[in-house]
Amino acid sequence: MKDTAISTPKKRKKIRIWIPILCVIIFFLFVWPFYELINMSLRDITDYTSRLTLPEIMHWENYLEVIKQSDIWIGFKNSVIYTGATIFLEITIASMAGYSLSRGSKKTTRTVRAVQMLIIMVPGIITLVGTYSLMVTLGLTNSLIALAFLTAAGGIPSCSFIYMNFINSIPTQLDEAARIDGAGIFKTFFKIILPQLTPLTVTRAIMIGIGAWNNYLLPLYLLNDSRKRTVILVIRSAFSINGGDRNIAMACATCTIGILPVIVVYLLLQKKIIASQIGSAVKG
Amino acid sequence: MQKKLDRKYLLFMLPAIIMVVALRFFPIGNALRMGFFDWNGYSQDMNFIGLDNFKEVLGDSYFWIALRNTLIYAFGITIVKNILGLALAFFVNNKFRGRSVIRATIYLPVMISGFIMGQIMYYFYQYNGGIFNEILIKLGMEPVYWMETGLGATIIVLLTTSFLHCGSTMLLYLAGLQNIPHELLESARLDGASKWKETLHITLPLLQPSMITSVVLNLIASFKIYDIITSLSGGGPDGGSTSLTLLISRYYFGYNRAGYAAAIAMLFFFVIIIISMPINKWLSSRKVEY
Amino acid sequence: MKKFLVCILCLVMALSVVACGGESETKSEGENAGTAQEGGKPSQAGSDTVNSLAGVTLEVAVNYTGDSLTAFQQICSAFESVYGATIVIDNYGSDYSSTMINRMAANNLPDVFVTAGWSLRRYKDYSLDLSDQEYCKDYDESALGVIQDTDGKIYVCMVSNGVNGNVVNLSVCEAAGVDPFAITTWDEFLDACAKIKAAGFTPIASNPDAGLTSNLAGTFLTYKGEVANVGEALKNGTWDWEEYMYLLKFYQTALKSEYFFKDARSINTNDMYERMAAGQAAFIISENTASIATLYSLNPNGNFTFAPFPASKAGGEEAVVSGEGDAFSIWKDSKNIDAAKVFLNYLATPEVSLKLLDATSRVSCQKATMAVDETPGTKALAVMQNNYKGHNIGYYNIWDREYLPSGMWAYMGTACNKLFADYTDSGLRAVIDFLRDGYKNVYVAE
Repeated sequence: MKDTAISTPKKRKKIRIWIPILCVIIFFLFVWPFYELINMSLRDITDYTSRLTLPEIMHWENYLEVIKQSDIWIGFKNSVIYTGATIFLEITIASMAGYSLSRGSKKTTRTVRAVQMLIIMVPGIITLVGTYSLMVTLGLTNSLIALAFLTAAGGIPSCSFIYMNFINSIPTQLDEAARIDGAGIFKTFFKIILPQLTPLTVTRAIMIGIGAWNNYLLPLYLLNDSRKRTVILVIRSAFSINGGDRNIAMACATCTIGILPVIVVYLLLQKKIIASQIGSAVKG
Repeated sequence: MQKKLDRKYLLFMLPAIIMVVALRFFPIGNALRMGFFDWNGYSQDMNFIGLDNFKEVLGDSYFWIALRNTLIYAFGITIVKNILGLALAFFVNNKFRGRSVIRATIYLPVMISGFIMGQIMYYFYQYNGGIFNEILIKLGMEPVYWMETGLGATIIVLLTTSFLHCGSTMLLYLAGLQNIPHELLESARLDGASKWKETLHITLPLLQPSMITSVVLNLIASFKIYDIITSLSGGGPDGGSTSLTLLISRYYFGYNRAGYAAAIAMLFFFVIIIISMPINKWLSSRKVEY
Repeated sequence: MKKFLVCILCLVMALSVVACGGESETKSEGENAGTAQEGGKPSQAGSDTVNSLAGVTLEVAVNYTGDSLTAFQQICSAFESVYGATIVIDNYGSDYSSTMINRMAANNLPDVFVTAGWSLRRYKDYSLDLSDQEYCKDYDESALGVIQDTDGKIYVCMVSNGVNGNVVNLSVCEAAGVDPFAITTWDEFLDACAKIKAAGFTPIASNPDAGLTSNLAGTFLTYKGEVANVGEALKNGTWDWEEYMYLLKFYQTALKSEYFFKDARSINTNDMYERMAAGQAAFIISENTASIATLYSLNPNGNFTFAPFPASKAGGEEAVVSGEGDAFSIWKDSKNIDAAKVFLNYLATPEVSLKLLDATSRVSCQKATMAVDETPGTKALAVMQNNYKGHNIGYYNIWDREYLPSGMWAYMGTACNKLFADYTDSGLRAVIDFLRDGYKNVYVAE
């Protein structure tokens, strides 16, 4: 007994010394790629000195140049439309389905569950191969809303089950009370049940939004009109080379500006995002 | 009464069902149909050629490389991410100042598009002037040609992805760790269990639900890996680090062989069915949510 | 701070120059518009040249990026201000060809589009016959060979040729004691590589790309006095690709002797230019004249030149290949055909086309423009012709556009990757088998 009592604090101290060192290492490892991005974005086109140190002269005008071009702003606008539409569609449709799964017959729930995993696992490329020529014929390429539908369809299976879990914990008496008051099923859900789930809806919206903002495969092939490009595609075209033009520094500056909204959203909502990740895992 | 209500609830699910059928089931069916045709993806004439596409796929060395890589990516990333995530979760679970900063930093790359992260990481692995090789040279060592072989590039993509995205796994485990009742650990400590034993016999078994969730989520995500490969290795050298997703898009959009690409997509789909079935069964028997 | 001020000053000056240039242009454009309308819109009186296209929106699809795109945008806005039309530019960059294929599938093409080398074999059925236009009477012979159909029809307004050959870093050659202007055959090219390697440089900066396996193939397979002559068989689809081994053997030697960068297989193109500019390598195989400008922008103090592809054996013909550069077609079902014709006439005027060529570094191909052309691409070609005086140089259409079916380009790219990954004898065999199969897949008898 005595032994452990004495040894434990000593051990604890040993660990404590390592913590700040590990902290610094981990911090630098994960921030490193971003440091390099900014480092490269501040260079002149003729500068290929070591990328470990910052360039001697900081070319901040690269950023000015990017902001002056309309491309990045068009990208932001399209990304906002596409992301917003995806969030709206996925949340509305999945929450309704979740309600139905929770309150409806258990048989249906079981049937749906059987195919759920399969749908979740199907990669976007298979959907793309199967719908691409059709979308071309119907003239639905270059439509941000059509793209939002396609993206939302991929998220609905898992999202509706998350909603189901949360709705399961809301007592059914609430529904019955509403029904006695004469509220229809629509009113019951949108006026009474959904408001109860606001925290979940907010965190889901953030996660869906970030997924859509970062989506690459579907926009790459479905949005080929330069006026309909999302931010990721604008960044991609900044890096791509055609006809011998290249300017990596500018591309990196475009990239930095392009990811800024995500980083700002992340820093502002960091607690919520992390809590939601932890929360959904616990619920699960 | 209840039956009527059930029907109403079913109506509520209708939009979701329509979306999933129209935008998930229909494409799969359509792709299956396309697999039997020789078609370039845009012309009016589609030639029915039966199983020829499928036969050709099975003899296509690029298909087998891509299939191998897809499995390496899926299982490799899952394993590495879980190990990293678990270790980081244990570390961040300690109480120290600034741990929320560290937690947020580790999760940061998860928020950024894989395409962009791959583009940045390309400059780390460059042979000439790449950041890693520059460090090696500064340390007096020979530079390494990281992307020399297909398998090497595959493993680099695997490790890079795991490193960049281990934040999400860490959070899953962190949630699990925080759910372990303190009394349990206290009593173990009073019994004289060492820290190591405590971890092995109490913490890890209690983390099992988190582990299952994490494995399933990562498997699903890693099967679809696409973004980061295109910008980090470009699928090269000579298709050596291509995943099936990348291969399908190459054939469809690069070679204009829509029928052939669809045939590969279908074989990919069957691989997914084979893998998802046991997972599904196992999960439903365990009543774990994901 | 000082630098920043200088930058701003430069910017202001540049802007004012552009503004002034715009004004002086307006006049000449007015005149040209008159002729344009004679060609395109005879019914309308020539008096209302300014704002005559008000309310018309032209959709123009291009594959420009960077400086070329900026130049094209400036040209378009100048056009807008003169004619009052609105131009919407779709810049598809490197996804251009796949995007256009799908727009063809949907039969929904832009009013005007860049043909990127496929005006005849891919876009012919979708393009308007422009043979009656003014600029079509002004084409140089070299251009006509590329864009004129067998029945004499022309479907593009071609402002420039895209000229392709090798690029040489003269500083590296000098340091290694190699005279690049003496190289006439690929064997001599390899000898030069050996010297450069011995001097501590990497001889060839190229990365695997379809250009390497196809652009120079003519010097082994189809041009006068080369080791093989299989042009006929290629065109009627009966070729078995056996003679392709000559070309593969050349690369095998180069790869075995480590004349490429150790990481050639995975260099991306940005990186390749950077190394060439930094003086690490002496040659890039198969590049167009535009890359000279890129190299100078990366290293203003460098010394780069353009070179023809050597011949496969002594007495054979060295070659420079060229294809459609800045070439524009009109969609035959466009609702704005007349406006599109005016736009193309505008592009074809020397003042305008030179502005475009200045950015794209291609080579002008209309006699009127050629007379006054001093843009980097033309200069590069002129310098090349001067440097290689006395060489037997043939000028040809880009090899794959001449001899290979549409859709073969992607296979040539994969073949090159295969070659770099495995250049043993059995590897070369595999490349030939791969190409033969691919050729069978895409060949459609015409």
